[in-house]
Amino acid sequence: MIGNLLLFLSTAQAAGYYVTGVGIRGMGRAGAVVAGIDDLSAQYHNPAALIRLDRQVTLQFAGVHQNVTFDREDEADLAFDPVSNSAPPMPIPALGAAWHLPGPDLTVALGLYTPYAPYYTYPEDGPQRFTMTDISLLSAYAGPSVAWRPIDGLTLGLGVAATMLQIDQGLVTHVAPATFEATDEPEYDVNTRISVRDPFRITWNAGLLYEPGDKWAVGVSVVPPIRYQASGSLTSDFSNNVYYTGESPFGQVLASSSASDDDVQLAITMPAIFRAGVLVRPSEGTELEVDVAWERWSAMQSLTVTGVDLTIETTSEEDARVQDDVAFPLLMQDAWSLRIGGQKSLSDRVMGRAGLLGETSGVSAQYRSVLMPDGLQVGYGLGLTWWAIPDKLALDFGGGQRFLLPSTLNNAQVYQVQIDPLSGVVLPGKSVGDGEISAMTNLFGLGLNWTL
Amino acid sequence: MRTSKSLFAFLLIGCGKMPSISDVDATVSEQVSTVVTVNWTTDEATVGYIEYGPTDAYGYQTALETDASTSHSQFVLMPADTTMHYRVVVPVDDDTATSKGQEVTTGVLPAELPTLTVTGEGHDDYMAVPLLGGVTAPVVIGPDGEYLWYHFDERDLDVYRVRLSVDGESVLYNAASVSGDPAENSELVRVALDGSSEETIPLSLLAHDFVELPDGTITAMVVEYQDGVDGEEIRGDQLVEISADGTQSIIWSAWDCFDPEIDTVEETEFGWTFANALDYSEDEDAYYLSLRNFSSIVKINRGTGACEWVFGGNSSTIEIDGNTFLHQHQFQKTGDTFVVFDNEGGVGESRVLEYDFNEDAGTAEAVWSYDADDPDIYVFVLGDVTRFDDGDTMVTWSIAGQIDRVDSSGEVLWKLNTDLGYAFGFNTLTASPYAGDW
Repeated sequence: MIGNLLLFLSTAQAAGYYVTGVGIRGMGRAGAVVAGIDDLSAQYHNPAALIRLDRQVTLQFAGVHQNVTFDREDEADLAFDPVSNSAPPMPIPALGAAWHLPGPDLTVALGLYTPYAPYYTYPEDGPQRFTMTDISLLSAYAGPSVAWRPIDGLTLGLGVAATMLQIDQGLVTHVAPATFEATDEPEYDVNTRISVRDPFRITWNAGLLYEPGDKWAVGVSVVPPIRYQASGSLTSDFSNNVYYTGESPFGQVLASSSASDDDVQLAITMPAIFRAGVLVRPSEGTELEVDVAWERWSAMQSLTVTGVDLTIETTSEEDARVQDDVAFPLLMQDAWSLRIGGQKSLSDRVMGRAGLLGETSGVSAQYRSVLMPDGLQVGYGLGLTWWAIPDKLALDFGGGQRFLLPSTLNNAQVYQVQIDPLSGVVLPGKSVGDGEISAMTNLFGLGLNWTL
Repeated sequence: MRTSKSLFAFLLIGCGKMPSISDVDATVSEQVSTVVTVNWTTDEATVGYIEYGPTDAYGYQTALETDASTSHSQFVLMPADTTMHYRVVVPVDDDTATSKGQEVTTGVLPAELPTLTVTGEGHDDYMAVPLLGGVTAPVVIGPDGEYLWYHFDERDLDVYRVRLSVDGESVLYNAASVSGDPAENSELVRVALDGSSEETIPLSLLAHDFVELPDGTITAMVVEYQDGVDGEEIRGDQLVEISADGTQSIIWSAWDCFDPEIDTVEETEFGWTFANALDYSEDEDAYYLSLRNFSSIVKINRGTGACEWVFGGNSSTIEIDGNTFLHQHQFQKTGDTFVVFDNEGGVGESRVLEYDFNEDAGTAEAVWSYDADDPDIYVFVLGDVTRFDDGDTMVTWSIAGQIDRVDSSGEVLWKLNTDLGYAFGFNTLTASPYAGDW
């Protein structure tokens, strides 16, 4: 038998680039599983906990549905209607297998999982358009993990994974001469798309589980930062901009309706994560766990598209060349979370789970946007496992909700990307981040664990 | 002010007796809400002027009348929607007779005018400049960026140059088109300062610029077509003078100085010579004409029509040391100083070049340049530059909707921006809107 299936399924807490993840059993305990995880999502939470598995194959699907509402305010007293994203529930598959070798007392596992793959769309003419009109972010991990118990009670875990990242983001840039004060007027809009991909990068994680008996356990795990170097294209569509349509003060300035650069780069550093949890079992079939997690989001200070060389054909003798980096300042900060969860046997075949969580924001208040709708979050999880065939086939159900508490954004440092069509200079346009933002994430999932 | 004119007033009215000033009233123009007509009478023939300002300390004044009379009327340009104090002043010998101070409130600006934003300080001149884009409007702008005069042109043409007439009674501008083929229905327009009347001088194929000579003669750039040796139509330029009685005379043609078979250009999209800016030197009785496609500025003897020299480009008769200009627009020659708005000579941006110009030696040495750094500005059409006596330079980044006053170190002292969607044409500067020497 090859081993057990595993999935590491995320319950994304936010849109855009801000991703985290837990599995379906973790979902039911609001992520409080670093010490107590007992399925293949241990590959993600704490690879040392794989030691609990024997021979298992796992297939899981989860769904994530996030609603973000942004009610933009403008210092020029422009009135905007609140805007919400359109995000159909997104199925996230994962699979894996684990195999325990009793001789050396170790478990090996192989998993493929996609932590989070959001696809969101907003109105192309909405007040948020300068930050995002749509985004598709796909990341995936595949690789082996091993848990080894050298002495009773102490288990060490290590995982290695190949990972990829693919981002396709649309936004509207403001294309007007830099000498003018930027505006919201749609005739200066230019739909711009950034499509980049890092197809292969190696990462790892490690964990430790100390479980001297049946009464309690301690688990810790660490994930290093992942430094993606994605490359791809930057495309701008000028077809509705006045400098192309000829409605500018000097008629048609742009000779071509579009311009593209097929060799731009985007560096993204996903944060290092440290997790620790303490588990107690006050009675047989009952677990309570308290976890803390620290995520070093401060490593990501901006998202910057580099290597830009975009030639904009003009009606004059000289074409404009955009060679400046396109930067989205983020000034992110480290985030802490506290998770309390547990499980209890409800019958011979049913295990119930529940949990609560609270998490600080990884995004500084002035940099929050629909791209990074983060803030103080609270949430809960519920779940259960039903052994359809005792000791053979277990079905996991999980669900939960997370709430981004409504926050008012003032003096936002979120700006339009403005491009001067005459000189090609890229600069910050007007501030477009003030307002009120709120979000609610619904999580649900189904897993199948087959013990061989 | 104006000692010689004070002396003139003294001689006219004698000494010892102060004139009586009466019937002083002010009327805000119905057509231009920033123009106030002040009328007054005196009991003897005098010349006077108006002092005015936001307080009874005044601070501004009109020009002294040139002809003595007992019935007087002057236009005063004031900021919109403002209560202004004013009084009549009649100089008498070393003394002055003044009327009682009064107040007048100007009207509000039309909503169509874009917002003008000023940053910095150190600028105290007035500008006559066309607004293009969202509106087509010749305007006069004060040192604080306030509108002092405006007029909307509804011809569906553009306006590139605005000048206050030499008699100070009206505003002149050209209604034309330089985008694509020149307009057949172009014309020069004269609007009374209070907006009460408008006269036109139809002149087909008008180009960017015109000047008014001290005697009231107007000289305009006009597109001219001639057949080439292969029968193909060649687009050149000519200068047309319109005398005060309306007589039109072609006083210069590009073919007078250049030969399209010899003086060829690489870019023919805009024709052959493509004249785009014009200045006049009263001292030399000569025109200076910018030819975009030649990247040249030509000095034309008004009396003979001869080209005395060609500055820049392949046909240059002036030896240039240093930076050269490409597809320039407006310029200014004052003595040995020659400043040029260089649209495309820089790398991806426009700039101003200053030359130490030695006409006798036929040399020009580039001694100074200025380009905007934050941000870089590229202006592919129009653009203007003026050097002040104090060494500062006014740069009009036309299509970029910005006007900078910079010092010799390149520091921006004063900046004027208009709203997105608007642009400036050529910029005519003066120390006083009443001087009559725009």
